[in-house]
Amino acid sequence: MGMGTIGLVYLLLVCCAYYWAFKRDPTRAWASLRCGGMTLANLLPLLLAIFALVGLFQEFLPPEMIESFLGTANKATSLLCGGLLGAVSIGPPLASYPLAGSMLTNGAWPPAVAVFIMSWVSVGIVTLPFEAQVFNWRFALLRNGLTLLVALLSGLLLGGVL
Amino acid sequence: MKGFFGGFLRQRILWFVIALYLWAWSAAPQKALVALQAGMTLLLSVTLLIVAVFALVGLIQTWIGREMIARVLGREGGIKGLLLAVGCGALLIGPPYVIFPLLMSLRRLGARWAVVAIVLAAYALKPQMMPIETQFLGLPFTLVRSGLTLLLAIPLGLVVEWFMPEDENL
Repeated sequence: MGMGTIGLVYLLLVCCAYYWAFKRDPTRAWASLRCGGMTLANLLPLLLAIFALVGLFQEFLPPEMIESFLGTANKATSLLCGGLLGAVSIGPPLASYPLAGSMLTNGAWPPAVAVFIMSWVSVGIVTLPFEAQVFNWRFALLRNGLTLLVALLSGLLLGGVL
Repeated sequence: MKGFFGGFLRQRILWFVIALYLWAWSAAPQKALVALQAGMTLLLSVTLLIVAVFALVGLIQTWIGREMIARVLGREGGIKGLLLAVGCGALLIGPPYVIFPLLMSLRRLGARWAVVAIVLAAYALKPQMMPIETQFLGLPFTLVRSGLTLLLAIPLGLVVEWFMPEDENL
């Protein structure tokens, strides 16, 4: 399922909600649309910047380089690398599976790969300024820092169980 | 549109990215162009999702009452609210950053910080995508990883909340 399809499904659901809203109270439904539009307009410049940054990462950090950092040679380093690589990259969970799979087949250590997936999804260094602006710096730093720690811990536990 | 241009000027990160691109362009113009193209293609691919999410943000802000949010996702909601947060994080799809504004609107309406952190932690839990994860990483890996994410989401959220100040201006 591509991102376009997911977007369409979301949009369809939201349209249904708006249909219901317009039937019940058109003025309030218009207010909702305006409110959502204003929020989006406020965040649009930041979104543009974030995606441009993602493009830079993709182009200047090739995947082969990623894979070479995650081997079993030095487990502590590869665990940390998995976490940091996941933290600087960005994307839907779905996109991390093929990447993680290619790491595993290229000789990466499974706990490091698990850390990578979890921090890919839940820790975002690139999106940190965005998160701080939406919530606040204290929450953004706390949440990302603690999530990275939990991801490292889960990776170690996974290594112990498997 | 006023919001857009106002935001444009206030964005330090935007200027930072522009500076990075200027540097990249001076180093390798071709690569910088491909990078910009890749970034914008990615943005285009989530445009529908972003539009839908912000439309939802508007709906939630004007239709759902503070009392209801506070009752279900605030401190009064207790463990049920936290479990609901795990469920929401697991079932929502798309990149997590598109739901930041949605979560903040819930927070403004009285949801607790733990709920916000738990939704984002449980985001790595994707029951509907487990077949795909299994295909790439194997069943034991997938099961153990999902199980650990599930177990640690609520404690993580509570610890984040514990470090957040109680009274603040929203």
